[in-house]
Amino acid sequence: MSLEIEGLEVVFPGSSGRAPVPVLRGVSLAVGRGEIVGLVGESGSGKSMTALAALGLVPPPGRVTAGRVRLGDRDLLGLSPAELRRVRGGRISMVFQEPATALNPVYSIGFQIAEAVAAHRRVSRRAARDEAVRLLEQVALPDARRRLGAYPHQLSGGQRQRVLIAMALAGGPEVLLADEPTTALDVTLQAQVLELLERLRSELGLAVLLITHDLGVVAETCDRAVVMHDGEVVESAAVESLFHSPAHPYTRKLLASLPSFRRPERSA
Amino acid sequence: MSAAALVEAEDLRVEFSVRSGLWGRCSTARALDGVSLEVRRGECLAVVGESGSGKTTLGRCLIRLIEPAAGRVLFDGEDLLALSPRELRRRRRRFQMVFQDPFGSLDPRQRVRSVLAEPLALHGRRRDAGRIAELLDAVGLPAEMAGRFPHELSGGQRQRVGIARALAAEPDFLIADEPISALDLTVRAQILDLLAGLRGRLGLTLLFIAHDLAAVEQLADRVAVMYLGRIVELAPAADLFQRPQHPYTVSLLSAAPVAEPVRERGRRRARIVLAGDPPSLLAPPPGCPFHPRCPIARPRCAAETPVLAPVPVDGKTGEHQAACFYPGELREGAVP
Repeated sequence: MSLEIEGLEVVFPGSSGRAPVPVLRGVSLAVGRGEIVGLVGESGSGKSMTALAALGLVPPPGRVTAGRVRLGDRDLLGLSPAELRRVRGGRISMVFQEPATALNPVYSIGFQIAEAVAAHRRVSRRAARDEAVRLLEQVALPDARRRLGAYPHQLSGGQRQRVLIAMALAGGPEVLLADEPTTALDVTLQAQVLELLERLRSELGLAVLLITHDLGVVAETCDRAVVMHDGEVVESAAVESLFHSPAHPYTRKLLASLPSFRRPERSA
Repeated sequence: MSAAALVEAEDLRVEFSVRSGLWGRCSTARALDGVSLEVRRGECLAVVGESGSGKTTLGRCLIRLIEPAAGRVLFDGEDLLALSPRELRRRRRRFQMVFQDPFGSLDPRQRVRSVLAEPLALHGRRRDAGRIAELLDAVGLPAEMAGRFPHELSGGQRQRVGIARALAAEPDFLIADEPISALDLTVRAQILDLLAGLRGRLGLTLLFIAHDLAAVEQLADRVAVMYLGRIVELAPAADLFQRPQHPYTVSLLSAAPVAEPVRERGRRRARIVLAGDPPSLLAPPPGCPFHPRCPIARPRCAAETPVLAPVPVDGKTGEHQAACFYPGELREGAVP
């Protein structure tokens, strides 16, 4: 397994003398090389917190009270801040939901990607720019070299999300945590980004943890899925068996509330 | 106008001027480009499309929250755009709106009671505790919610309050602008059920603006698909989902992920993924607005603009309309 989370607990102190609030309760999941695992659940179920905790980014005053996050042979929770910084964006990186706010508006995208490249490798400025072009081509941004000087506001939402994915790939990661990468996008653009993630998974052998609330995205893109509810993993299964024989009542409830439409008739 | 139409729009055009940069030149974005449609009494007409396609602008234009640059809007036979502000205010009781964001559309300092009492007072209705309890009951909330503040409510409860506020005026026509987009999955289903129930009980005419195609099929009688300020396809819901004619509609349906893994495996290979982004409203392409992304575009599509016209489906020409020179040619050819 590339990424293995075991018994992860995150607690926030209660406000003014109240009991502490557990937000993750014994979360365990694993993502293997070349695998896309969906992490599903409703708002507040702890999906994003799981990803943040895996990177050692739990916002204070919350803290991790138990569990292990293994990346290959290392336990990330035991690392020093300096070691952790090397791992973050290096062996494991993250793509955030909101492509509009995750980029710095006052720097060109070329600068921002080159910065991500230089954070993990000693490279010349020119080599970093060439690498930025290669990364943008890898995420299929048309006209990559010319786009280096573009600012985030000059790009569409779908293009910005490609730039963020390119930045996440800059350190040559084994694991990609993608937190609702398509939620802010329209469906035709969502289809493009999902296709890109699938391609990267097979070309680079990335292990992808895809956080989403959209069961359609899970069915379409993931190999396995982990369902979270109230800070706990309630079910974890291969996508086919999750949809066809959901074991947990909460999974059944989620599936039952799913609207669906009849597909167009297909030509043979 | 036909007797069946409650709202009728003719050739609506809406333009916004956009300044690029601080000292840049003003350019014009055409948010609606010649939109005509009717909303029939008692029906639910869904308007779908991606961001920037003009669906919200259309909804607002139909109740004169936005003044069109050209065109006509008839509400129950009366020209809305010709009304004086005073007359318009009086008419407003008959058309109400439910907004997308249940967090932003309620005043955080107002208790639910006063949120609902305001429209009641405005339209000269009874506004005692009994009437407010009735309204809350109509949207499935207990009467004691009247004393709550918005921050004490969940997203779904807030959206119910938003619906109750719209119903307070006893409207004939309700515009729901993405009423479920901000909600969690299980709550979405409840709000859709509520809207469907209210529509049946109160005989409401509903304009349902959405980008979630699955929600649309559940509620809508007819569906209008918009792209870049135009309606590209308009059809009875069942027809549209079963036999989409416009290549954009076909791609949209194809791109929507479906929660069925086994069938998905077969479907995925054939999924139509459109290249590129929707073009900018500031510089719409000549000819058919969809042609730069269209998988079946031909030279004619770049030269001429197709108009919305009836399309024969199964040899019959009826309600199904599309704005395409080659309707029905693009099919999602999946291998089952």
